[in-house]
Amino acid sequence: MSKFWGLLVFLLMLLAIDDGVPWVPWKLIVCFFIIVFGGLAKTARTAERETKQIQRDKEAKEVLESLKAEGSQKAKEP
Amino acid sequence: MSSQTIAGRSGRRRFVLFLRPFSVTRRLSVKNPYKNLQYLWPDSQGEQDTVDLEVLLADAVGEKSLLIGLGKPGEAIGAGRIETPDSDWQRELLTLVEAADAIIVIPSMSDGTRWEIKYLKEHARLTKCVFLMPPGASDLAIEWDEAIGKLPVWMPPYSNKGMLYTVNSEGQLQDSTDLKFRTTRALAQKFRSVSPKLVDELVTYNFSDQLPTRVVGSWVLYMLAAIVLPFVLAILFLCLASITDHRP
Repeated sequence: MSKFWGLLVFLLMLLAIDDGVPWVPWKLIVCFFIIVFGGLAKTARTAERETKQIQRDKEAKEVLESLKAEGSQKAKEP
Repeated sequence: MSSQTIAGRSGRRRFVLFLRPFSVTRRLSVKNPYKNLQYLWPDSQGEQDTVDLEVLLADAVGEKSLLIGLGKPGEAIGAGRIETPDSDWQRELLTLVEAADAIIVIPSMSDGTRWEIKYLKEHARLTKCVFLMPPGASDLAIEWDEAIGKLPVWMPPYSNKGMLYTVNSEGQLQDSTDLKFRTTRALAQKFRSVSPKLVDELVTYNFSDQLPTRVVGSWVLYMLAAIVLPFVLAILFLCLASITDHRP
């Protein structure tokens, strides 16, 4: 979510609802939250990549260890 | 993803080795292909305008195998890193070189990379390699051009378009393509075009990251939003109105 989405939702809200209720309080609060969540999306993506990276580092280490084990096993074989 | 896809014929994890000078870490910035369609696609929201090429390589390889490089775990997003002691790195690297399904190399005059390329040539492993000239890395251009003729493999003059190329066992050019790409699909195709046998099964892309998919997807999304959202908001409004009505 981002400012763009906030604006889009806001415009849709204005188009969809003609309720005669002053829109300033609750509609603006909704838009504010959408924009805030937009900012959080970037943080979430970074966190997702960092988690994936931890997994990759772990798997890389496992690959090397299994290759070493395979090598020493072969060395033991007559 | 099935374990059969991940595992090679011998049953072990398939992987692509990434050999590069440590100096290029976090310095391979390219235009972010995940940001295509900009703000019109929800998944693009969390993306930066540029991304490190290593991230794209790791993602392209990571679907079916794993990109592995030496380095400090957690130092950057990209290849899975293995930390090795200074005294032992060559021995551990050789283990990886021999077992790797393919090797991506960024040639350089750094001591480590020079030793690696020399080893690859002496042990007839050059045909396992895809050499990469990073695109848009003008700060690396001088370093790149200085290495031409000093390494035992063919190297072209630096070009901003970047390049992918393969060499024969003598280190002479076999196939090449520029590295200009706007989508992850194009990146995968560049790899396939220079080395179809080597990386065909290893380098992939996500269908949902491609521009045509996102164009169609965004239209569907907006149409659904335009249909569903008024109902959701109407319900929300009715709830709020009923709460207001019940107030004394």
